[in-house]
Amino acid sequence: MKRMIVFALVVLMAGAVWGQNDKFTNAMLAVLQKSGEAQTFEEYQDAANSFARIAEAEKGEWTPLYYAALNNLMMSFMDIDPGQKEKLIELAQSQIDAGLKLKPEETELMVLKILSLYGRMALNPMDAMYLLGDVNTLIDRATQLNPDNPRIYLEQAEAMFNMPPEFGGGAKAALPLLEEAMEKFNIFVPDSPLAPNWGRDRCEILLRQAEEAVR
Amino acid sequence: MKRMAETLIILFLANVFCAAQVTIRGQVNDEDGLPLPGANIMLKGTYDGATTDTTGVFSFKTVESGRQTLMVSFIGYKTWEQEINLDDTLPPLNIVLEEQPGEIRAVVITAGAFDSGDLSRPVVLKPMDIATTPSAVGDIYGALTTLPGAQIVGNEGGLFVRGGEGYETKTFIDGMQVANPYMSKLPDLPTRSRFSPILFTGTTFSTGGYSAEYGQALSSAVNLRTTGLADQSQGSVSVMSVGVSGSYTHRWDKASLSGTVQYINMKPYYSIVRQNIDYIRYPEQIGGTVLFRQKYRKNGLLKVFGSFDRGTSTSSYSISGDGASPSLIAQNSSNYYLNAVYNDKLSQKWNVMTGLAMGLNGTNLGIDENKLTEKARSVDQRVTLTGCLSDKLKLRMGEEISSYSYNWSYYAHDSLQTYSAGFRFPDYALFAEPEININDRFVARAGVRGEYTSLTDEWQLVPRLSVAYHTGDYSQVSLAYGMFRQRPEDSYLLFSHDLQSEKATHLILNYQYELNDRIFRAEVYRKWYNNLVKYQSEFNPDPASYNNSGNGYAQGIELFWRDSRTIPDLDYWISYSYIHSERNYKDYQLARVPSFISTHTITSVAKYFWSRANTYIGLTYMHASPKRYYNPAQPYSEGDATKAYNDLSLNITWITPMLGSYCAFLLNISNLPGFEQVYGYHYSPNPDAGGNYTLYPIIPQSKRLIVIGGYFIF
Repeated sequence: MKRMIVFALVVLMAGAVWGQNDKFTNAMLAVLQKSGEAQTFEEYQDAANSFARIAEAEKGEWTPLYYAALNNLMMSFMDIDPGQKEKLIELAQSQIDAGLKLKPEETELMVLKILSLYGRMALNPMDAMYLLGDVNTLIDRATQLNPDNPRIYLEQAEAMFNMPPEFGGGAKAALPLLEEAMEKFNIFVPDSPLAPNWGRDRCEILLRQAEEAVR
Repeated sequence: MKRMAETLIILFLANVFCAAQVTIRGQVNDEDGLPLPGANIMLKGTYDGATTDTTGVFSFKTVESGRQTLMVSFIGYKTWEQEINLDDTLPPLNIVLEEQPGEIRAVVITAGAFDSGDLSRPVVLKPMDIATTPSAVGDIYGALTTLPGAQIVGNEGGLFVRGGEGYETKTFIDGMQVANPYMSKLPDLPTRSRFSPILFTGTTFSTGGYSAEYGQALSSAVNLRTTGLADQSQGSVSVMSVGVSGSYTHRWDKASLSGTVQYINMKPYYSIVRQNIDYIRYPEQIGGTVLFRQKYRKNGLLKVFGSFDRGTSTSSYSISGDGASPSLIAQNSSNYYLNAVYNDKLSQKWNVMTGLAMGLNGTNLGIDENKLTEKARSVDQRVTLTGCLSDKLKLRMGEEISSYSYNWSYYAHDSLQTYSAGFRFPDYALFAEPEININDRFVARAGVRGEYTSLTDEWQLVPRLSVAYHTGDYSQVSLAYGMFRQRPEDSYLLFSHDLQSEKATHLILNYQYELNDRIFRAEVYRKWYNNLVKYQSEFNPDPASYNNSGNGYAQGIELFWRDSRTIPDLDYWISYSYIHSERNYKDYQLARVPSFISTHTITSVAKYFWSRANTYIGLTYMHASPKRYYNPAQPYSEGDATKAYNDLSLNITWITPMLGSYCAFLLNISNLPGFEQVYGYHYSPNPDAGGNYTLYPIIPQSKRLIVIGGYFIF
């Protein structure tokens, strides 16, 4: 009987731990839903805050930091005061860096970091030449660590797409990169329900535009 | 026992299901009582919380109980925390968030200092700004000349700060002395920095009142911080109308190594664009730099910086200025510099920096058949400890040992004689400087530096003091006072070893307002000079003809405005300096305005990024009011004045991707409108038959300088 009690306690504790994880996953999924439907600044803000709260409670998890940063970056790309943009990018970068501390080789976090650097470049064009070095390092490192992450290619394609055609950018130039990204999206399977799985729709839109431009 | 287990399970479940829900609600405002929408409210350690709505109101439910910590965070504000007991009935909370004192808002000593650093801080000049200032053509000192306090002295180069001569500005790399930061100079032609601006991530340009850490500088200290561990392996090649250079960087996990080689030959350019100087052999220069970085332990970083350059040219130049009997001037020079600095954390509170720097500079100057040879060697060793003893108290202290030797020889062809002279002496210095944050608004730094000069066997204690006070949210006032010493110039010490150090005392009052990428500064100062060297004539070998009886003063007002916000993609700054200065030194018979002084100096730089075309456009306009020049026949006269100096320079940089990487094309034109620029006048050394000295203008080598280049990264 004594053994029974020990067994029961182990089950209970395991249940508690499992319950904890389940609680984490469920909470994350609920906020992910909210974040996926966000349209306005306020809605993104609400999602970013919710992820930040989970990150504060779950100090060992990188995904809440990732999504908090992603939402903050989405806000920074909206039409707001440049000072506010800078603060949001700064906050996102601190969240990404905290995530990278937990998981230094996570290419999804590197993708976000690249996105944040693009944000910085748009804000301070004079610094672009300096930041380009950082972007290239991150792209190389991420491609090396996980060549199958489609978002690495999507980021590059998007940057190429937005560059004026006279300077080697534009839809046409972005086409091969978009095709590569699409190929990767086709075979991409997220590791877990919480793993980042965005960008396919955006890739499809850009690809369609690029194909039209070529035609 | 089975029942016991069941009971346990039931108890556990009961605990979950019976937990009472508590509602927490309230309002978040800033210090002015305005609602803060978007603030994040959370029960620490749980997922429970909410975001404030547009009116700053929040409300959420939780199943937690007992004592919990409620936390409120919002971008740009200090995080608010308070313990609450969920078992009690909670009234609606009224939370006030305090604004975060960002780096812009922190009180720092700004009197006399222009600091620039990494990208995230409010900076005055970034490396990119230095590299793209049109009038500077890639020269660090040229770019710093666009800041208030520096004179435009086109025939010298270097930095003439607040009534000080060029040699009164000392350059430091990562805190270590650089004895010869300028290229070897030809008469009446400006020199440039040996070092490329892209080697450095940050520059501190101090126009006075600097910390006790820096010695041997009467007027100004320029501290250049080299880059850290390189980000990535990469190579680059640049091709310019005046030369080529290539660099490669390799990055390992904990170390990086970069090397740059540069070759400059003015022949192609000078063959096309006629110069005012007649070159027999066009200036040619080869140089290189090596940067090695290695990380040790958790916080240790070793930085090694090495550079070398060799240059040569032969020109026909009239020393007397009369153009009638030109001399053949053959110059060749070489310079080697090596500096190693190690930084590490000793404990939670203490950081250590130790460094060693060595320099070797040699110049051979042939003037017709005569030969002048100079050789300078310098060694500088330093240890600095920085301790953050508490939030309020920071202490910096350290020691410095330096040794400098200088040898000079002159072979006179007429007499077939060689004259030589030289000296070598070590200097020792100790300093300690506590910085006290009296409160959030008030900081004081009081330093003392003890210096021993072995040549003259002098022990001197010099004080440095500065305070800064926050007058408003974005503005502050600071005051700096300090005494500064510097050994006399090499050419005086050669012949007289009894000369004492020259002295300057600075008093500076500064006001600074900074908000959202706009900065306004105003500074007034007064500077006293003592112990300046006086002599009867230059290069006089008689030691008795030199003494320390010279003196002088300088005072002025300086204004600076920079704005990179108002117009998107446009960044501009305007500097204005007013100075009144007189000196009685060298062979002056009375206190006079030195000939490098312009009473009014205005510089403005504008840079626009035309994003549609990936093009940077930079424009500099500089104006310096007339400078004085003196007729040797009238040693007591007020002197005459040159024309005012004007310059308008332009550069265009176009960045474009190429072969999967990037490249930049550059066009730089100095003095675009072709203003007539006269820096001063020479008088012929001997009077003509009528007893008059003839005047010859000191003018630039050519009306315009055009540089075209391409920079490729691979």
